[in-house]
Amino acid sequence: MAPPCSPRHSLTTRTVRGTALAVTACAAAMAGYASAAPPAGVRVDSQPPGALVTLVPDSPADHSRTVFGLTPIEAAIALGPNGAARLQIEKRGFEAETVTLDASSRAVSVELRPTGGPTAVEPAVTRASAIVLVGPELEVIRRGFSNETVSDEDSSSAADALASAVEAFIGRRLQVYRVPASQTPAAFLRDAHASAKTVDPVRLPFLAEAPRLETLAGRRAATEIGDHHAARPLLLISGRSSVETAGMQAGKLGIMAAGTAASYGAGYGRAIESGDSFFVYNLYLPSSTGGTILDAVLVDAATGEVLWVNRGLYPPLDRNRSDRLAAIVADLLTGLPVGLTDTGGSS
Amino acid sequence: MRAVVICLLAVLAIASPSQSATLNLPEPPLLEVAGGPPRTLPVALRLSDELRSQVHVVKTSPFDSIRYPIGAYSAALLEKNLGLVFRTDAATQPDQGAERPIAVLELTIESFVAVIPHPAYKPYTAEVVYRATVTDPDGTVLFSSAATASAQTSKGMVSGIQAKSLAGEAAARAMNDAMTQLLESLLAAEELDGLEAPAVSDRSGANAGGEP
Repeated sequence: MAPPCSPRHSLTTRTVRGTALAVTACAAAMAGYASAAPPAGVRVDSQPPGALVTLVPDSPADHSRTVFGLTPIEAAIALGPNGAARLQIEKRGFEAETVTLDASSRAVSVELRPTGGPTAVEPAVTRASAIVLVGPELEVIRRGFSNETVSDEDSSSAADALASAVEAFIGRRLQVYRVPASQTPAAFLRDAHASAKTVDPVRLPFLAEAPRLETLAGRRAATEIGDHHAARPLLLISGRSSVETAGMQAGKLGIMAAGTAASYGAGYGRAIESGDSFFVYNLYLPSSTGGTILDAVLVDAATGEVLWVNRGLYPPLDRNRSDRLAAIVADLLTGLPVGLTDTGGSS
Repeated sequence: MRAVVICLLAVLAIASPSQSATLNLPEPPLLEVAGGPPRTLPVALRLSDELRSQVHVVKTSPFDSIRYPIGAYSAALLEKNLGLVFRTDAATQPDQGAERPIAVLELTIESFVAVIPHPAYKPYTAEVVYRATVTDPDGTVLFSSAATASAQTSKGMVSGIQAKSLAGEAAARAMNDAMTQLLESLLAAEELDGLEAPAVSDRSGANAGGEP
């Protein structure tokens, strides 16, 4: 054991001091970039209430939004480097309002002007008795030790298993008609995919009006699908799932075990050399490279309106585990605004 | 001694400029676009300098980054494949065409996201959202459509030594796929039908926001 006043302890002390100085210097340097102090709780109110309050980013290229909640709300809102913050207040059926806060702002109240459009999803859709499930379009990628390939067979069977789980979940409330993606007009798929990626799921219910499929061809295709099945809600699910092969799993374990053994050996050797009674080593653990990304978008076939969007990141799809598939589907379809009542029917 | 070494390394790290590597994306390919023969509509292509110079930067460490020249690639990809959708004899910058164009096509990159994974054996991914906007010479929007695609690639446990090429491959595949969809969307655009005949151009313009 080293004595309490050994040079090693002195070195350690100096290192810690140096680190503290460096941190202080860093903090001083960063102070110039820090945003101004946030106002102590800004109250945001709207007439009517229940509008979504979000922070508009300074850069037009930044599509992210910080969500504060629904009006009336009191929130600590940090100001940007220019000493201001822009809030957007949105509610379906009303013009969105943008207000700018500064350091003196304590309360904001806006009166939202009605657009004259609908303020909620039409009951003809929410109370529909049937829904068309398009797809799922699913790509299963098998990740090997030194390559990865798309497996058509796995993709097809995983899509079938996912479709069955969706039908089991929605089928309790609705008649489900499944349309394979290969039999769906490309214009609808293109527009729906673009909507799934560009529409913000959180803001969607609060946008002044529902976005629509962008092209005439896409909207016309949606109408044709809906008319064919006499159902207005069209649900498209798409995604990608990565699964590890046995080769990848064995390779990862082998490399991690070798790395851990090498670290252990080096630490042990140093301890023996210096006469220390303890040593440290790195324990390497492999991280999973599998997973599933799923997008879901609900479209009103009659109008082409995008009614609902959701996305999720899940474990690899295992078609033999129906309970896991059911849990994934239940999470992905949370808040799906159809089949909300037992009565009524599709128009 | 250890403290001195750490200080020296810190000073060197702060003083040295960050290393930024630009991906060498492959030559834009000629795409396979479904949807029939090209439109006879003479269109002018507007590719802004902002688009051409658009670069996406992914920081791979505090001192290293990889630059994706997505604007240059997208512009070259569209220029190479525009003839699949429109007459190319008039597909020039709006003010340079000998023939006054009936429509002006503009491309924008709405978003681009790329992942360079840690650890390196995870997938290299890219996702892009393009938007094509067709306007008349006065700037009225006749047609606007977004197209999106994502791609991933990997060499598994031997990915690390090919990181740059894998990142470029994922980005190029995503952009090629999205551009294919965008061009197919332009071919299928009912909003542009009949624009070749000036007498019906007003009707088509009205269709842009009309009901299906």
